[in-house]
Amino acid sequence: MHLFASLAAHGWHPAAWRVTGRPGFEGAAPFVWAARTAERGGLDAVLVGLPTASRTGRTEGKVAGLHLDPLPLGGLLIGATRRIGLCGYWPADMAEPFHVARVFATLDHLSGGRMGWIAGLAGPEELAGRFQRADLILADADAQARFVELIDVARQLWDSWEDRGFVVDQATGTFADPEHVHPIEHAGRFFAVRGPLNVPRPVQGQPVILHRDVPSGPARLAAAASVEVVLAEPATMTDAKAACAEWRALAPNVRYVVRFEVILGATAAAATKRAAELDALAGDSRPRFVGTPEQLAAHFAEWCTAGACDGFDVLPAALPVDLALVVDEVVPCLRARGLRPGGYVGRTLREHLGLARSLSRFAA
Amino acid sequence: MSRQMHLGVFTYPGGHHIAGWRHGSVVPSDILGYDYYRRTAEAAERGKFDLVFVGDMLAAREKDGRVIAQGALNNIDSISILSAVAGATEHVGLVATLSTTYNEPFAIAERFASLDHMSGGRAGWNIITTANDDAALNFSRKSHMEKSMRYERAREFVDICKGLWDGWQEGAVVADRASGTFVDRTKVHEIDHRGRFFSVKGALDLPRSPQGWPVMVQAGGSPAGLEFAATVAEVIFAAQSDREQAIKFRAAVKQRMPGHGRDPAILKILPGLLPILGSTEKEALEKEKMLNELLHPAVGIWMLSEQMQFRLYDYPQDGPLPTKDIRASGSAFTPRVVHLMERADREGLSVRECGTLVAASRSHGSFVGTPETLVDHMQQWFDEGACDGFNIMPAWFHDEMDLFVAEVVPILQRRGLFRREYEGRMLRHHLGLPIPSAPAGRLAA
Repeated sequence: MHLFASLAAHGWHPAAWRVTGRPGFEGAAPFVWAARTAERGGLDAVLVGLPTASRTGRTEGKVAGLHLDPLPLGGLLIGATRRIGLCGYWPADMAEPFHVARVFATLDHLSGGRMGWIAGLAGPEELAGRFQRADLILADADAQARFVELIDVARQLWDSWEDRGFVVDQATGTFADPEHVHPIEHAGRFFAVRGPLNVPRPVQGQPVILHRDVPSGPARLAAAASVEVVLAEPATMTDAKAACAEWRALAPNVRYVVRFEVILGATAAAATKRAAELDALAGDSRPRFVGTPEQLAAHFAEWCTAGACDGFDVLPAALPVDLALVVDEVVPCLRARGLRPGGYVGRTLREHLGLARSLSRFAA
Repeated sequence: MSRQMHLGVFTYPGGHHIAGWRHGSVVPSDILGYDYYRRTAEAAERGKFDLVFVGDMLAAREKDGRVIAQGALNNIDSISILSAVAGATEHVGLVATLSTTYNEPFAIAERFASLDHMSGGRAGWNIITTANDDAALNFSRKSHMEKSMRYERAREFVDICKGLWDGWQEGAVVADRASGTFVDRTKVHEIDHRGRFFSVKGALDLPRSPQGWPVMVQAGGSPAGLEFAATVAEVIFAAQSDREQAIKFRAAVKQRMPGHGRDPAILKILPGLLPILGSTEKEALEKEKMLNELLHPAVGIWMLSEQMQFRLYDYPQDGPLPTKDIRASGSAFTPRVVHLMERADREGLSVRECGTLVAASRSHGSFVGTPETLVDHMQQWFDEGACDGFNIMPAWFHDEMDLFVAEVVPILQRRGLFRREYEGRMLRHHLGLPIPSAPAGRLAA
């Protein structure tokens, strides 16, 4: 099974900042600690930049909704880690495909092939907190269509350099082979992009593309064209099995990953007490698991055995407490059950996930 | 203490000499990896440099739709590189280049505020409007925006960013566990901007960063660029290869600053400088010859054509630079192109020779000599008011950067021209720049 951790400065429970004993804002320090801790536990990847609180929640000032830009944060984590995958959320609502392709290609080179792009739309409420021109906020169907086209253009740009386009032969002075570096000449409804990208083909061919789950229907069908990892929050195991099966029918190599908040304790009673204490400070509507590390490992095993998913993304309720318990207590249980390898085998995120390196569409 | 020089190092995949990547010590498979940039940043910090600089290009080097086979790569994304090396360094400033023509202000304000927080106050922004026409074709635009409009957009862009950076008063993050108040929202001020190019309303989700604003850097040398620099720049990365011109340029910008309510004394001008060093003059000249022999003439002629916006491919390579035809083309030439044409006429340079000149240093200043004569050269520029320091452009990485740090920096220090230790942790400290005060509710009023 695959194992990710989503990072939030204090944790994912809205009251986490009130119990961790940490200062309100410590910049990137909690993320550096968390990425190194997750790497110690051999996790496949950490996810950064997913919103921890709604705009309304943030403007009320009760939640720790500070937000470091995940692009420089992802860059910083490259230098802080060696093996773990790094996935950053870059909402595509206002993004340009050339920027997305260029930044993720750069991050993939710098990290030796460890990057993933969590693609998604922030939506009208978030955009309204940044822009006031109504014409910038597209109707839902248009926003979806633009999103699908943007991902397609970014992937064309990653493909625009075949591997053999980047020659760098010092003896002959041949830097690039123009026969194998291609303008993409994209002319679509929302974008006109000539290309090629000015960064050679990423280490992974293309960075891994992750999507948050979308309802069954046209959106899921559209996402299936590019998605490699689905981040899902199903209510029950039955729901998970149905959604996972549908995704696999649409995209056979997809990794369906179930995410929920985790609140752990040495005993079931201790975990329940922690949850109650957090809930007394602030309400929390996220799907969650409350229990001991052994119980969490058993829960993971049950879902995997039932074919309900390919792995999990844990959202530590209180980052320093729950991530440390996942790494130090849950991972050993999973290893004992044969569900997780003893350490990293591959170098790239694709290798961690068992996904093939992407080949350029131009490589005949 | 006497006036001190400021030093930056401009990173580049391979090196700044266009054929630098062919040097035997460069490992081509390394030039895009983290360790390549980390090594440069660590060398800069060992040499007590003010900053590491990364450029930005938004289109591949190409001619007629084909990439240049013998060329070299553009810089890869600047913010990614600098955020990656931020954790490996403690003092050196991190200056990233981003275009105001092809970005949106809210995202860029957030990006620099984040980099400043992550680095403990070491971020700088080299504000460019993008000079490369081809970029438009990668951003769904039919043509590149006209220059004066680009600068108008840049001014509005920067104003919005400053408003966003000033949105959080000191002490807005209270994190009061007892009352459950994380942010005192009375200390967070949204901007409400409606302008010609942008319409932005809101506040960042980040407290004020250590430096308040990243250091504002600017690189254009045209009249419009110069006026923009006088309005916003704290550092100018100038392409100046002639001392007299550099003195005039520096005086011209400084003269304009009071008109914008700014103190000219804070401005630091750092021309690019590509040093080619040897332990003797002869050794340095041999090194230059070796590099220029590695340079493919086609690359030089391509770069020259791009800079002059004039196709030189059909002219004889060994014939004189056709300055009459070039001038007749009616393009708006940058000062560096005008300067090169004057020199070509004066010295009777051929197309190939001009191409080599441009390609060798990418039209920045270069110097061939020993560490002692290089420092003489730098000191003369500095003492005569041509600059406030240099942005060093090593011909290739890492040998040439390591050589500069080991051989040149100690001479500068001995002569009292350059710091022996860092005195502060922030880039603004290194550059002697004020830290913008957090205006209490400046925009709420």
